[in-house]
Amino acid sequence: MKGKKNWKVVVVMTAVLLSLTSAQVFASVAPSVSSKAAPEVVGAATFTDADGNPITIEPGDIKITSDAAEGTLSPEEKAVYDEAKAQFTNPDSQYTKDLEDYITANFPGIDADKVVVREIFDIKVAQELSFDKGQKLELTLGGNYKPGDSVIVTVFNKDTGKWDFIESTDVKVNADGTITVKFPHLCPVAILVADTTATTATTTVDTTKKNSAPPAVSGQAGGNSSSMLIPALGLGAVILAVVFVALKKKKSV
Amino acid sequence: MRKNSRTSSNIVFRTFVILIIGTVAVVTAYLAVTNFGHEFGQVFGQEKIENAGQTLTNYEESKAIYIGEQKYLPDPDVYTFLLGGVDKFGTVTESDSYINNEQIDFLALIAYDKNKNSCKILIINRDTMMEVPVLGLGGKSAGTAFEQIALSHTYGSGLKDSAENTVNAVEKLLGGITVDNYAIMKMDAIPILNDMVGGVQVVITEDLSVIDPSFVPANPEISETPETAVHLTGYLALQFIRRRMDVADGTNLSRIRRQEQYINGFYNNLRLRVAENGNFLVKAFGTVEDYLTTDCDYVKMNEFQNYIKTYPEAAIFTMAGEARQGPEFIEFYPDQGNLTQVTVDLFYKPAE
Repeated sequence: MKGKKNWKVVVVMTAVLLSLTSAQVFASVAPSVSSKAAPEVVGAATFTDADGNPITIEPGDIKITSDAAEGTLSPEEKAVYDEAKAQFTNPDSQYTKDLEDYITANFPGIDADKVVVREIFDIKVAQELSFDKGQKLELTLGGNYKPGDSVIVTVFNKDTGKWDFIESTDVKVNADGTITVKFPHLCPVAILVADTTATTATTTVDTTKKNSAPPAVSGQAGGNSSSMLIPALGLGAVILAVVFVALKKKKSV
Repeated sequence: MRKNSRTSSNIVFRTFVILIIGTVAVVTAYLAVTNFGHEFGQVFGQEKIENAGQTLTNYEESKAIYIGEQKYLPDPDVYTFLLGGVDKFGTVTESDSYINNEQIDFLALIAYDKNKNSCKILIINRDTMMEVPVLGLGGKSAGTAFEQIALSHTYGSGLKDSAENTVNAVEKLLGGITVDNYAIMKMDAIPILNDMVGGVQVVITEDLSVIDPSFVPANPEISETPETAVHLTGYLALQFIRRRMDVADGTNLSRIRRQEQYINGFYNNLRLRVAENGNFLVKAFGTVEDYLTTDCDYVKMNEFQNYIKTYPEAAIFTMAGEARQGPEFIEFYPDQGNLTQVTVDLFYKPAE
């Protein structure tokens, strides 16, 4: 009985080891990057109702429609979306005036002319939400932003026909590049950034004097050096297991 | 005897269990560091990989690279041409949005050095992680995103704005060099150009039988010929340089090795065709113009053709570095020392 129990333990542990090694092998054939047309919702969202009670909304109940897919919106939604988007390209629009006021008040060191729309998309929630008493929907959206980036989130108000700027305290850039936003209402959403790339000359190649002499030029691809190590370890574990079982059988004969 | 047998059996079993636990611990630790090591800035003693740029006000200094005490500047006598392929078929069409879904699948930067009379081609891994320039609504510059260079082309309408964003990314990757001209093509162009140069001969060094049953390495025990040489035509050429997930070890690095071989063969055949026909390149560009985005007019094409015709065979370079599994996709981190040296060797000269 004890022998059978030992054998079961060995089988389980070998299976664990093999699954870890095979995970590494599969990692080497993981997909190359593919673009995402719109940000994805990260984790569950929280809606705070009029009484201050938090209600959890699952990511599956939130639909984000990218700019490229705006044709899938209903005619009414598309009309609102097009009206909202057109304001960004009209220098005489209310948005342009409101942006200057907002930047002056919240980002005094930034030139409003340097603020550009980085993303625009539509958000829809499966359940009916009421925002008439200051309720907010907190969402975390996927992205590639950096803490310290000047990120501004605006939401189009179809009743007033204006883009509402979300309070900077309700927009947080997280360490993993996502942004957490508390939306006072939903409609087309635009994420703006202040473009500072023209004022800095950062490069990927290390240009500082701190460089020591680099290794001799080979220009050859380094390759994935660990690709054989882990499967070899797994194979070794299997061989050990087989040897162990053989020894056990030999002793029991 | 029986008691001794049971004791030794227990010892063997315990030793085996300890070995298994130890191996699991080592594998887990290795996977953890490999997948998250870049967040801690170091992987198993390799150099810290970081974007070490700095803000500089002087234009010349902004382009300078220092290796030790030696200063290097971009060489104005090096003509550069960026060749790229996006991962989609069909003619070049404008996206309905400020972004598109056409990623760069292949990038090669050709450098003709007038002083050294040399032609060098640098193949850039599409999974290279860098601060990629982002274009927002209206094609305006909207900062950068740390991601694969493959995504550089997805910003913009899919036309020249996207191609030039890719050029911008390559220039940024290589210390701020200037790319003189570019041609970015859809997948359909490759079989056409391949056949126009007469096909490309390559040696099969790994099992590519999924592409064609004959694409297997030679077995010296049963084969009279030491290697399997195949002549790529049409869509076989495209599959040879493009296919990844279900061939060989499935890595992009393996695919780059095939691309390196292919480019060498293609370029040599191109030189022959250009030598035979002084109008070849114009004709080639014209044949694939529906699949091509380029800043070359007739004059530039002739200039490029002259370089191909008068310079010797190309030396192919690739980037050393490490491919890692990111949160979702593969990420390639170039070795900074090697990248700096290759950049200096191909595109820079010592400052006087």
